[in-house]
Amino acid sequence: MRTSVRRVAVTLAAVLPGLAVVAGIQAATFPEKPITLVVHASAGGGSDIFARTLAAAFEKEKILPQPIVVENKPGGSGAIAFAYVGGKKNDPYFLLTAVTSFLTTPILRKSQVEYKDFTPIANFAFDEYMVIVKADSKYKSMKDIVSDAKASPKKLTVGGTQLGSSDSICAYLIEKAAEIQLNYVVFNSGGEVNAALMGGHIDIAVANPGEALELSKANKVRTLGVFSEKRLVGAPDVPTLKEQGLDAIYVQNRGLVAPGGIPGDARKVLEQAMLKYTKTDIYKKYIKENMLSEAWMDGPTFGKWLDAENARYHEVLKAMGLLK
Amino acid sequence: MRRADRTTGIILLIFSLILMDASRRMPPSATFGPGAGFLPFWLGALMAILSVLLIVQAFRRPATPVEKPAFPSGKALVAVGEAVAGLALYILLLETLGFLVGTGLLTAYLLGVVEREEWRTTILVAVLNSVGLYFVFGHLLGVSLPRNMFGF
Amino acid sequence: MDVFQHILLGFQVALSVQNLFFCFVGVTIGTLIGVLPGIGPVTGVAILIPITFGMHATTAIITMAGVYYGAMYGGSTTSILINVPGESASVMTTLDGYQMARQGRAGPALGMAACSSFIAGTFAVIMLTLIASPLADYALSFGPPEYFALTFMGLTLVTSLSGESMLKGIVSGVFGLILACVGIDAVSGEERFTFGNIYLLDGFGFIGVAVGLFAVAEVLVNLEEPLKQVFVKTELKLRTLFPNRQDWRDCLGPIGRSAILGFFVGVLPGAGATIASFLSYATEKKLSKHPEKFGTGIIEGVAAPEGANNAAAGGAMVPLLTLGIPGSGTTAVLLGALLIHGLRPGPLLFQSSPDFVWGVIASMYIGNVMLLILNLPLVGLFASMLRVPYRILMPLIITISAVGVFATENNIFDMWVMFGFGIVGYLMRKLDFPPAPAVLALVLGPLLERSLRQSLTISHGDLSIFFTRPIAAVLTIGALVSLFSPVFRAVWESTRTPGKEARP
Repeated sequence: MRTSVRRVAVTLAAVLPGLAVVAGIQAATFPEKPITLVVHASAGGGSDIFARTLAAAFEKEKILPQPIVVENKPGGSGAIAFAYVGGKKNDPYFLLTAVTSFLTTPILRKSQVEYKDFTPIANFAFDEYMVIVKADSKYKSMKDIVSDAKASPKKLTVGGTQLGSSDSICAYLIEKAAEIQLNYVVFNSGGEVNAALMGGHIDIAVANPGEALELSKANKVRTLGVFSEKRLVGAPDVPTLKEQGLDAIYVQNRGLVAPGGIPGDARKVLEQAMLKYTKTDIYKKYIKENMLSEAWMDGPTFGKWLDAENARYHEVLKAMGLLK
Repeated sequence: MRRADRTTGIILLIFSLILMDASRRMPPSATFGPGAGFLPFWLGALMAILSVLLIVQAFRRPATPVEKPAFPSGKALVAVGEAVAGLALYILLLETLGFLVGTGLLTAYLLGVVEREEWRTTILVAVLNSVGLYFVFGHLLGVSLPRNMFGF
Repeated sequence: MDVFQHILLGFQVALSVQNLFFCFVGVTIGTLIGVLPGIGPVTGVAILIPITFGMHATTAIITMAGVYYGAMYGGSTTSILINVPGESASVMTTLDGYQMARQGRAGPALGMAACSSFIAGTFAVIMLTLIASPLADYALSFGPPEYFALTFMGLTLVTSLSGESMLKGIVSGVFGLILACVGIDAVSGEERFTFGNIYLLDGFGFIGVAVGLFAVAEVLVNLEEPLKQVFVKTELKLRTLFPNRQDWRDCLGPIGRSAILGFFVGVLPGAGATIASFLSYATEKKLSKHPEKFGTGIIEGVAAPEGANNAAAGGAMVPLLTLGIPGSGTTAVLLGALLIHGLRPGPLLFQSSPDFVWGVIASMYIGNVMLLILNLPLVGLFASMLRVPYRILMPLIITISAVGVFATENNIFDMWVMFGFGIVGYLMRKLDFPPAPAVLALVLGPLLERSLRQSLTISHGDLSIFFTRPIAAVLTIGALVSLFSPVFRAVWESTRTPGKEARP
């Protein structure tokens, strides 16, 4: 019943867009035009695929009466997209992908907009991280790495992407937990890190479970541990770092935010739509193929989580010497 | 070309000195290997040497009796200036005018004012061009082109 | 099973009506995307991802792979016709391709680009079929010191892109390297020369710089003489529209070499099609009997880079399929697409889904043939566009450049970059500084700096790392020889010029 009422309203709004604006029909019929989902990274990356999968599912399952349009605004580790969407204050027709960089980039770049300038809509999932070494490496467990690194500090090379990225934070967490010093080598992309590891140019790398397990099945790499509280369901044989005496826990989140100050009912509509999306087969398949852990949070919960994480990142990045 | 080369050399020399100074202020590397300022500093140094060579070469080259000026003057310069100004204005106003209107106006300006084409052809080409590009990029390829307040 | 059974299986998959149809759809879209500047294969493939959701995985990847190598065919079109490089991989094609178009030989240039793409592309697929696995090990043997040596060698080729004055060519190259420093320094996270502008955090957009330096600058130069005939009228006769026998004789060697070079550079995850096309062009110029003619519109200058970038696109499939490592932006998108379809590329893919792997490989043979058939008739159509008077063409070139540059990252700032470098390019043209070395250096700069600093981090600052590893040592020594031989020669010759007597 409700949906049919909404459809009538939407049809009206579509036929008489001018009238709808004049009459001030707003949140009751939200959304009355397509919603733009801004991706902070370039086409083809993890966030882009997340966004395009979501948009396709909305279209196919008709979750909202209006489509979601994906728009890439890459650059500056997200800074360009944050400034763009942050500038659309009160406009509920914009969404933004929010992962680690959503918090770390404003901290590192002292940018004008920060996470507080956005309305959290929902969090979907967590990306886990694993420590890997080459298959024929002499390191069989984290203990081997720790004792070797203690014997010769700054000798072991660990590969990752630019400083301040999830990879570099993972490496730092190991250093801190084990009280060792590693030699961090910066690469351009995760793919290049894995290639350098398999080629024996670096000793250790950090990878997502999907790629790590596939390469380990093919006997190209060995997985030494996962940065999570408990062992992963999909990889029960890989011990956690915690089990091995290293207190290093880290996840990257996949969430969505909207500009600050959007109407409360529009936020509610979006949140409900996202929850509905998590029940679709497309979403379930996406989670499974990418080996993500489901971690649904509604807007307010996500907001609190962001507060806590922001404080933590501040501390970690400061300790890494990246904040002046 | 001698005078032009000399001027270019001097400008490049000043540029490279500024570059070297700015690079020197960058913090040194925290880990092994060179820091952020390493490459720009040495590139600045290399550019400085090259610009000195450029100046020296300009002086050593025999002066030709009639030097062809490097840059045009008069009418030719006006045409280039008009095109540059039109393009700048276009980029400046694109988000206000929207892609369709802005591109149409730029095409019309370049054709009608800069090239002095007769007005009927000008309007026809301007309309076809802006609509065509809007259709291919905005519609077929889904690029979100700038829109004006009326939504096109 | 041996290779023949594998590829037979592959053709059984690829020759189904559905797969043939979508292969055709893919290469057609790819050609269109390649023709339009700014929109590259990365965006093209990404847009297709949601559309292919309902398809079978093999069909989906056949379509997207078609877009990828189809775009490499189309990329040369605007480079040749109007000096607008559509993709970074087709910058080198502008140098001789556009000059050929001005001389009324747009047809042979476009035709040779398509043929060279076909031959080199097919060669790459054959290599992929026969020796994908051993090649993966070769790709892995390239670590930071090897990449440094390779890039360094690439940069020394800047000298061979110079026009009359080698000094000015080197200045242009160093200028490009300085431009490459702008943005966040990946190693330290430090901002360099960004002046607080967030759009500069990732440095200058390559397409904006290249379109400015080449296309906009060219238009401005042509505006100076409104009555000058920019293009010699193209004859639309079959005999003059396609490469003639002499063209073929000139190009067979370059095509063969560019196919091999392009493929092996393409296999390396950190290099890619752009570097392949640069290296191939410079190599041909070095080997040529008449190097001075490069840049004036000779057909080898089109055949070499176009062959190399297609072979590199095939080569990039090797690390993707065998190791799950994307070697280029486009293969990174393909990786994402594979994941959505439940396939995880990696060393096990050949065993776990042979029908998929061999189906896609077989489709690449078919797709290349389709592209050749599709592109040759288009040659006449595109070449005839140049019969439109230049004063009408001029606004079209400016506006298509602007929208193409905008479309690369959806921001106006890139248009300003194009505008600024249009003026810089105009000044460079007037002062006889060749723009090609600057563009080459802008591409190679970040790779050079990163690999240098990676190497020195690994070796704790010890420079011997570049000489103690065999591949790195060979490349470094080759680079040093290539660097110093022309410099010594230039210095030697300049001391013997009559400059001294002319001094007052």
